[in-house]
Amino acid sequence: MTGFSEAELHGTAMAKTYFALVPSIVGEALFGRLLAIWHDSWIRGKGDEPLLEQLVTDQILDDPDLGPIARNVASLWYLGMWFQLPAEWRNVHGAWANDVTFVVSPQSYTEALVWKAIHTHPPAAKQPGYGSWALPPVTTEDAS
Amino acid sequence: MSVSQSPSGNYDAIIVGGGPVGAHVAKELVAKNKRVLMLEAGRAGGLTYQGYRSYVDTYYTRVIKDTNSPYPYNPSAPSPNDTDIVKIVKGTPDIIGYQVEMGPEAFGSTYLRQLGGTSLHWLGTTPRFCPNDFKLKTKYGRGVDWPLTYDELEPYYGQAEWSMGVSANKGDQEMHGIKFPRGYDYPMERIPMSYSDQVIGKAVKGKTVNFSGKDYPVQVSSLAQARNSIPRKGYTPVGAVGNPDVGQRCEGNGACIPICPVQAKYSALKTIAALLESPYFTLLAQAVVTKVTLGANGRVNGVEYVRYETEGLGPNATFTATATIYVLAGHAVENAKLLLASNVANKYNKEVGRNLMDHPFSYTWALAPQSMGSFRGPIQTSGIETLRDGDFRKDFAAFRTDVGNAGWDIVNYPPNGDVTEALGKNVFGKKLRSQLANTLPRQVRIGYDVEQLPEWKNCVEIDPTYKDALGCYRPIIKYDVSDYSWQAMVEAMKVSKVVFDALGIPTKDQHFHGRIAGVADSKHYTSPDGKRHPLNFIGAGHHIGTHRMGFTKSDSVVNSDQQSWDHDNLYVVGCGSMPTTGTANPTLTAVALALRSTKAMLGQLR
Repeated sequence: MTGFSEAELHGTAMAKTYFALVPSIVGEALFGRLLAIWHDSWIRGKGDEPLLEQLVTDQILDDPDLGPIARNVASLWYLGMWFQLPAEWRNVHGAWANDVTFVVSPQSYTEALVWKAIHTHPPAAKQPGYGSWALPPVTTEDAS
Repeated sequence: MSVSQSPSGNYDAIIVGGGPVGAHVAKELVAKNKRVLMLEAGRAGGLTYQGYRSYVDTYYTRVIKDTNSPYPYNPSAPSPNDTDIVKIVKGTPDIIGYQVEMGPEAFGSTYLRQLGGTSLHWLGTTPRFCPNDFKLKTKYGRGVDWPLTYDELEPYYGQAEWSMGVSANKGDQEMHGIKFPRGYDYPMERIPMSYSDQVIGKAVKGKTVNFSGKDYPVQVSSLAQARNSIPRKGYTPVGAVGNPDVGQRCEGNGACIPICPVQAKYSALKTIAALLESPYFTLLAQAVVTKVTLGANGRVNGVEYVRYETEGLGPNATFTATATIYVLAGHAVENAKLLLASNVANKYNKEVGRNLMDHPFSYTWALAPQSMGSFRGPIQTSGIETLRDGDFRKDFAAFRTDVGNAGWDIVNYPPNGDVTEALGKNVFGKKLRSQLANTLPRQVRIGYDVEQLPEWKNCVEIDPTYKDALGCYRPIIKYDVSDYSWQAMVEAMKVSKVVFDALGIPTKDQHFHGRIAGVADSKHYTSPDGKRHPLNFIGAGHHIGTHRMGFTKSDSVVNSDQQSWDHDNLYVVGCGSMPTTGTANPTLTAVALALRSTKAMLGQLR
């Protein structure tokens, strides 16, 4: 879902926090369904990237109940932020008290994976050191 | 000290405001064993290392990371915030937040009322003014002249650069007549230019723009910056307050605005922390000065201030403090507000609060065909400084060109939008990761700090209708931008065009005018040739004017020593004293002016 390896995700030390956070906002039932369907897609699409992608799109992202939650899970990993679910979702599922836009914690901000994806660091954290910015940037080709 | 107590005794000087200007006045007076009381409206939380680090954590968790986002909200000494600034609807003031805006244009700049002042969130860019900036009227027939010249201020520039810790190479700064004495050098080597600066610099080599019939080079050069780099002989970098081993060098945190987490960037906290070692210096925070009072002889005989214990709640208590001289260093807007509330410094004219200026900041952006290494290093390390002066100033404003290092930063606040937009289009997994990697580092943003002329109608006012939680006046801002600056924004696009073309950016990826996220819809400006240009600007945070210095008591609030024409023991210091804006970020010049003014102050205290 994120394009990062298990090691990279665990390396953030945020997995437990997010795993507890999502059901606390959207409820156990929906979160459980999301996990079950994700698991099913993952088993069926294992080793076949295009198939996995198709399954995730069809079964999760295009699902009006699960899609917005899945996108928010990706936002947690990428940005360390929860975004208030879309109005259409809230019209169906009601208002959840914790469903507001917020940054989870100082750690979630510094561990946001978007910065790693673009070969830099979160502003005000994990500083690269004096003069590093004068050197040519790492690119995707170098990194892989 | 509890709220019911007030420091007693006679002071030589009372300084209102603990920002970089007030701190430097205090530094000079205390060095000559003068007893100084500094009254700061905000809190002093940044004086401990842990307190400052808590601001960094606050920054991490703020959804909108605007200029004041790391610093605690304080209803007893409120500050204007970016999120309070909205498009002004004709006839309806914007009363959101602290600052009341009457328009017609939104005044999109903020400042911070807390110990250290706006130097907590400033970028740290410290160019000198050009000699011609001091004589705009004589040279180009625009605005007014200053009652002092570059040469008169020059020694104090050097003193300010060494006190604040400016990193630069002399050679990069010698242009438009800016000269240095023999043997002078900046205290630290220049901050390395970013990779994108170097790429742009190479691409535009030899290119020019034509302004008012004359060609000017488009040339990228290193900026003078008040952030620590490699020291030259005789200088020791000043690190974080309470933890001096931290922040000895800029580490490329990329968050200069709104907070340098390691304090490699100068803030007035450094100067004030050193002053606290002296028995001649007393600091009183959470003390909001509400009135300057006069004696029968017309001289200032005290300042009234309110101390609060808890922000917005109290208990509050009112006191009076007295000294021989009084120095208002509370920021251009706050100084004007206090003078107006006190009904002082207005015997000879109605200039107090007038001629409010900023550098209207317009910007352009593009997507380069290759990685520019964006989002690395200090937010800005270079500029195109060649258009800060020239004969075209007869026709339109000069400007400083800001070559950004943080992608499309103020354009659309990446990367949040990039991530959510991709997810909305069902881009996820490895595709999402590589899409971000292949776009964000290619973002280029070029902005313009445009000169603005003094105009009487642009002002700070007060009205009993608008008061804050403590019962103090909220500033009312009336602001407009004249064609002199609008036309410069149109001309500036030529510079962006040269840069973007030189980088080989396809036209479809070049963007010249902006919808400003959250602030306003696109505006339009019609140039003298009848062409209609979609155009927009935001504030640069450079509040200038409001108590300008001048040649006579009829044309200004203060003289060239920043001494009130009306009350000889009252000094009103800071960017508010500047008669025109030039194009330089004003803090260095405000500090240099303050250092110069301390000669007059010390003369009075002898």
